[in-house]
Amino acid sequence: MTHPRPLTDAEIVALYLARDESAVEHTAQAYGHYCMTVAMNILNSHPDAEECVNDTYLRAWNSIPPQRPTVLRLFLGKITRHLAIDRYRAGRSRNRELEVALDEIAEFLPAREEDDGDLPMLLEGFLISLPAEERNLFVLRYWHGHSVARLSKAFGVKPNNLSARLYRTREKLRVYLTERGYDV
Amino acid sequence: MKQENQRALNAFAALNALPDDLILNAERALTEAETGIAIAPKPQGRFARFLNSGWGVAAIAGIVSIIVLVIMIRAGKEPAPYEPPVKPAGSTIEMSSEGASFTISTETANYPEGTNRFTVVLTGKVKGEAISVCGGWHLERLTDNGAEAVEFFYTDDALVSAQPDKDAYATVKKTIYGTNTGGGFPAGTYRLHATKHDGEKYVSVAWCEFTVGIPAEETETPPIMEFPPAHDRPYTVTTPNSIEYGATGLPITVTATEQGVDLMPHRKYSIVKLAGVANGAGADQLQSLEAVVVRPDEQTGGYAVYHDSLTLLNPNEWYPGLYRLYALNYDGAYIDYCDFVICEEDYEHLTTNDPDKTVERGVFFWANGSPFINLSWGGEVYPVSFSVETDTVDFSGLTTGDVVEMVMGEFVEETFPAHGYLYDIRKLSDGSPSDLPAAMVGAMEDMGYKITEAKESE
Repeated sequence: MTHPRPLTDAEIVALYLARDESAVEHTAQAYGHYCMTVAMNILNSHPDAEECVNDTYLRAWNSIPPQRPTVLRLFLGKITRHLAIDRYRAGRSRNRELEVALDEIAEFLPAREEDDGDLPMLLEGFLISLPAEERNLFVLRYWHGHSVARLSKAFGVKPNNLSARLYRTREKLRVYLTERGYDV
Repeated sequence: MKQENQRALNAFAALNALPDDLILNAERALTEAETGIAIAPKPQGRFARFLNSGWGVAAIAGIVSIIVLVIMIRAGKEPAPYEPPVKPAGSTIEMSSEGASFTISTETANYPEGTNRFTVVLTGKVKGEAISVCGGWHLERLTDNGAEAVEFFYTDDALVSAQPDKDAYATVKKTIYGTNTGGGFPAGTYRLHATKHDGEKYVSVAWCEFTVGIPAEETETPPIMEFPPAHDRPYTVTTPNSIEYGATGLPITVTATEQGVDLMPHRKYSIVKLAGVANGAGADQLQSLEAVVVRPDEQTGGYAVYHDSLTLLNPNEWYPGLYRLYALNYDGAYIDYCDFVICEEDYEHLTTNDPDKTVERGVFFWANGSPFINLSWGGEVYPVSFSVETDTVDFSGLTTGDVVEMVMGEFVEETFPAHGYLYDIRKLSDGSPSDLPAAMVGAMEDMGYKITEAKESE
């Protein structure tokens, strides 16, 4: 049995641009599992995650065109993450692992609640200043929401050691933000 | 949901704006770690590689130049001067399908030449209507001959929207990331066009300018400075005396006087690169930290101080032992070093109350305010470090380089003698290599210690 060649990102995007509904099917084949992982890491509920991923396809259908993403995987991942956070914020799901991550994030969260428009730029500047391994761990933990258990197993580090390293990174970030006027 | 969690969730959501390459690199690292398969960058065809190479760029530039020259000759006139778009910076821009309009502006972005990334913050504000940003951005570099296209990119605009606030203004603040691709962004003035799709193509509807270049303060004429003789060693590197085996972080402080600008005499800052070099079992280990910029600070008396935490991946990669940490300049030449010791986890168990004894010989060192001894064990050299406050052994009368004999108790683990119980340290000689295994002498000399003067043994 032969499998059809998976479409490239450019080919899938071309289907969207041509308003060909098979674009959604190909998107699901190529990135459905990835989007599901992103959603599950946040929602920890299979039905909720499935709804979230379906909403992602709809959002992609409505966004392309005019948008023309070059890295479809991340384009979809960001939409999924955004939708999953909204859903989580609405209180439809509970996720103990995410609660832990949020508690960790609260350590470097600026106290002020008003306009945090600079925060993404500052976070990027901070992350770029880190060694690659430290930066990757931070992104995997706080962008993807991967558990400490999974990351420690993947990188062959004891969970306590990994937590300690993440703690030191957060502490650096706290200092970084404080120096830039944030009351952390 | 708790208020703290709501705020944390906001920060969690803010990470959505991280640039793609950071996220992709992290995913790649995880996949490689979980599968053990290195993921190479997407392969390019031969033609693409040629186009991306220096020869390819030169060939394309040459072809374009010839075409332009031919057109100019046939037209018989000079190229038209650059005419800026009609719409001035700060003009209104229609960006969304809802028909809302708002104003774009940028914060001036001054970044050092050579920086491979820049950011421009765009702000939009409209009264009375909800807005959602969509469209694309077209970046040009302004030159004497006009504007040259740099990049056209899209935003993840579906994710950027705002509702009117209590004053009926909806505000969007968006950071646009410019990525260094295909030759980078040299210093200069750039014009960023906001575009909209007219059904067939993207057209410019407003623009704003920003600059990428050496920060203004760095363009000033640097003061002429007297450089100290090399032996003054303006840089110092300090670490804690020792760090327990199993710990994973080692704070490092690099202090550089302002005279250190001899590394980069035309800049007001110096770049110091740290690299750790391991001895003994980890001799092949070399961990480099990324180059950092260190600026002299008035609050520290004109010293540029760099403080970082060197992550040691115990126990798989770093072993108990003596390590030497080098501070390197950005050319890779070392400017100073310091030694530190990674101890056994339970070195504090050293005691004098165990009847079983083993004698080992080693060399005594006193470094960074703490004593430690390298002693031989099975042909290898292992260090044992001590806490001055808690140890019962009398170190008085010993100086660095002395050859000593250690009376040890029964070993808890056979791997490292420091797990044993220490009874006594007896001085054998003032640095006589004849009292030491040849392997130890060689290791010591490799580390820069000279044990050459044999003196009378006690």
